[in-house]
Amino acid sequence: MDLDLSSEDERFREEVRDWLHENVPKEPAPPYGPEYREYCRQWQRTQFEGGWAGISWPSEYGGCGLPPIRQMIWHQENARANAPAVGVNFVGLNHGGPTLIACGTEEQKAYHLPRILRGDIVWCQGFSEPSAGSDLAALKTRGVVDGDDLVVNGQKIWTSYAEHADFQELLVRTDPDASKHGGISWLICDMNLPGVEVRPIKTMTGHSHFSEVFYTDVRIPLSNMVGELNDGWRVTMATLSFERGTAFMSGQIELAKVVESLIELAKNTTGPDGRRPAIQDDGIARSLGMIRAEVSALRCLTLASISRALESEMPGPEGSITKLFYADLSMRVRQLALEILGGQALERTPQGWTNEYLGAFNVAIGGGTSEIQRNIIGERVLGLPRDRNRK
Amino acid sequence: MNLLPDSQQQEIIDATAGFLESEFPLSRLHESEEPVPISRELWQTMAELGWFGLGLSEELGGTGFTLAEEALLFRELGRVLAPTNVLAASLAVRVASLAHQSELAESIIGGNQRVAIAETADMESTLGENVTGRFRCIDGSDVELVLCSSAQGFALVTRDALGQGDVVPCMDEHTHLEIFDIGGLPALAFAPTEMDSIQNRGSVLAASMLVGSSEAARDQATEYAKERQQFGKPIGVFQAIKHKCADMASRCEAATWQTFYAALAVRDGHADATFQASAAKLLSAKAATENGQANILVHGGYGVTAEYDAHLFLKRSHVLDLLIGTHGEHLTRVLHEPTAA
Ligand SMILES: Cc1cc2nc3c(=O)[nH]c(=O)nc-3n(C[C@H](O)[C@H](O)[C@H](O)COP(=O)(O)OP(=O)(O)OC[C@H]3O[C@@H](n4cnc5c(N)ncnc54)[C@H](O)[C@@H]3O)c2cc1C
Repeated sequence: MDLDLSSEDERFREEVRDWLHENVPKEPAPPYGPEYREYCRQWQRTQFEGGWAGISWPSEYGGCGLPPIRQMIWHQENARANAPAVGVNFVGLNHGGPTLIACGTEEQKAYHLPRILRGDIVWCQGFSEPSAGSDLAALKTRGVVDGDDLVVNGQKIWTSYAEHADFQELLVRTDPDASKHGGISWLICDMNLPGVEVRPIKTMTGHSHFSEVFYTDVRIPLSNMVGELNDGWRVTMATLSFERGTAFMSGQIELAKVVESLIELAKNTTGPDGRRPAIQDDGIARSLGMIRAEVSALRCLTLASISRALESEMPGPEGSITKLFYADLSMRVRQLALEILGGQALERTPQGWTNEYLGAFNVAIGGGTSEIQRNIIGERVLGLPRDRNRK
Repeated sequence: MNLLPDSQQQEIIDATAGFLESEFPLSRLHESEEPVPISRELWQTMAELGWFGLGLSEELGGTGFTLAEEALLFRELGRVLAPTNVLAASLAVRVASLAHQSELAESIIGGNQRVAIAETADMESTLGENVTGRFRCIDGSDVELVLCSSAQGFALVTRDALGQGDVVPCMDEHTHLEIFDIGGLPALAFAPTEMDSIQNRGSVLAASMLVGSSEAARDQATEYAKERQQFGKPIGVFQAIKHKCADMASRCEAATWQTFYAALAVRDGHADATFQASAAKLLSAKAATENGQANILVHGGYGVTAEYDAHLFLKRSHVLDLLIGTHGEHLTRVLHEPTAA
C-alpha cells in the first residue's frame, strides 16, 4: 500500500500535461448533431496521432500497453486541461473495445481496435429493448442462422449515439428454446447494413441523446459474432463489467472538478439571506463541505478499482458500488447547485447547471439503474440470497 | 376539528377535477414544446366558474367561499400542471380589493383582465406605492396585469407598463419566463405582507398546487409500477420500487394535511398562521420535487424521455417552488414564528 507514483509515472504526467497544453482544442464542442460527431472523432484522432490513444490497451492493436494507473493520470490531466469529453467514442473506448480485447477473435480485434483508437469508427450499444431493460436477459430480438449469416429481426431502444455510430454491440436471441441466459449471442452489427433503421428519441433535456433501432432481415456475417453462438451472456457480463467498472472513470474524475466549480458558484452567487455570498450560508457551506469529502471518496474508490485492475483483467462486481456512489453523488451535486442558484435555477442555458441537473438522471438509469446496482451489490458482492420474485 | 372536506367541498373538488380533465389534459403538454397561454375563452369560463374570487366574500364581489375551498381548487390545478395565472388572479383580486380598487377587483373577477405573477429576483427590490427591482415573471406572455411578489407584499402593475422584458428559456419548457428590471413604476394596487394575511394566503395556494403535483407524480409512478413488467413481475413487486412509491405517498400525506391545516389556520386568523403557511410551503415543495424525481426513476429509461409525462411534474414543481418566498425566508419563519399551541 502506498500513494507514491513512480518517477516514470510522474514523468508521464508531465508529458501528458505538456502535450494537452498544446493540443486541447480551443473551441468548445458543438452540443449535438453531425458536427458533434466530427468534433469527438477529430479529438480522438489528435490523441491517436500524438501517441496517447488507448493508454492501457495492448500495443499490438495500436494502444500504448501501459498500466491502468497511467489511464487515470491521463483522465486527471484531461480534466485539469478542460479537454473534451469522450462523447460519441464512449462505447468503443470504454466497453466495446475492451470486450473485443477480452473475448474477440484476432480478426475482430485487428479490424476494430485500431480504428476505434484512431477515431475512424464510432460504436454504440444495442442491449436494451422496450421490454428488456433491467431484465436484460429477457431480450427478444431474434437472430436466425442462415448459411454464413445471422438474419436479425427486432428492436432495440435507448441506444446512445446510434445516429452517429458505425458499429453496434448487438445482443440477439439465437435459441428461443434454451434457458433465458443460454440462448443469447453477442454480435458486431454494422449500422449501415440494409434493414437497420435508427429513430432518435427526444429526452427531457431537449436533445436526442439516444434512439430506437429497428432491424428488418438484417444479415450479419457469423464472423461478426463475439464468443460462441448462444454464449453471448458470458460476453455480455464482460461488457457490463467494463461498463460498470471502468467506463465512468473519466466522469468520476471530472466530478471533482464540477464540485470545485460549484464552490466557485457559491462564492459568486448571493446566498439565501440576499446579502452575503451563498458560501457564507451555514447550510450551504456544510453541504459543500460534505460533498467535497464525498467526491474525494469517489476518487479513492476509483483508485481502489485501479489497484484491483493491477491484479485481474476484468473488473469485479464491486464496480457497482462505485457506479451507485457516483450516480447518487452526481445528482446531489446538481441539486445543491439549484439550491445555491435559487430563482436563477429556472433560467436555462445550454451548458448551465440546470441542464446538468436534468441530465443527472441519466447516470442513475443508464448502464443499469441504481436499484439494479444495489441488487448486484447485495447478491454478488455480499452474497445475500437472491430475490425469489425475480425469474 | 375535522381536516376532511365536507360534502359541499367535495363537490367543488369533483366539479373542478372534471372540468380540468377535459380542459387541461396532460396530453396538451405534448402538443407544443412552447408555453401555451390560457386562451381568452377558457379564462372567461374560469371567471364564470367563480374561480378568481372564490375565497372572497360576496360583499366584496367574490364567490363567498374561503381559503379552504381555494386550497382544494388549487390542489386540482396543481395535479394537471395548470399555469400559475389562476393563482396570480386570485391574489390580485384580493390585493385590489384591500387597496379599495373595487373596479379593478371586479374586472379581474369577471375575467376581463388576465394576470401573471412575478417573483422578486433580488433583495434590492421594493414594493409599495412604486415598484422597483428585478422580477421573474411566470406565464406572462399574454396577460394584462402582473402581480409583483416579494417579502414586502404584492403590488399590481399593468403588463404594458413593463415594456419588453428579457425572455429566457425556462427549465420547464412549458413555462414562459421573462425578466423585468423595473424602476419606480407606480403600482395600481399594493398590499403589504401582513394585510389580511395576504402572503400566507399566497403560500397556502402555492403549497396546494405543489401538493397536487406531488400527488399526480405519486399516482403516475404507482400506476406504472403496477403495469410495467420486468423479470416476469410488475416492478411494484420489488421492494426498491414499492418503497419508493410508499415514500412518495408519505411525503404527499404530510404535505396535504399540513397544507389543509395551514389553510384553516390562515382563514381563521390563528396566531400560528404564518408558521403553518410557511411549513406548508416547505413540505409541499419537498414532496413535489422529490416525488418528481422518484417518478422519473421509477419509469427507468422512459422517465427521461420528452414523450412521457414524468419530467413535466419535476420541472413544474421547481417553478412552483420558487413562487411566494424563498426556502430561506420560509425556514426563517418556521424557526421564529409561534407554532401551534
Ligand atoms: C441516458 C441513457 C442512456 C442509455 N444508453 C443505452 C445504450 O447506449 N444502450 C443500451 O442498450 N441501453 C441504454 N440505456 C438503457 C438502460 O440500460 C436502461 O434504461 C436501464 O437498464 C433500465 O431499463 P428500463 O429503462 O427498461 O427500466 P425498467 O427496467 O423498466 O425499470 C423501471 C424501474 O424498475 C426498477 N427495477 C426493475 N427491476 C428491478 C428489480 N429487480 N429490483 C428493483 N428494482 C427494479 C428499475 O430500477 C427502475 O427504477 C440507456 C438509458 C439511459 C437513461
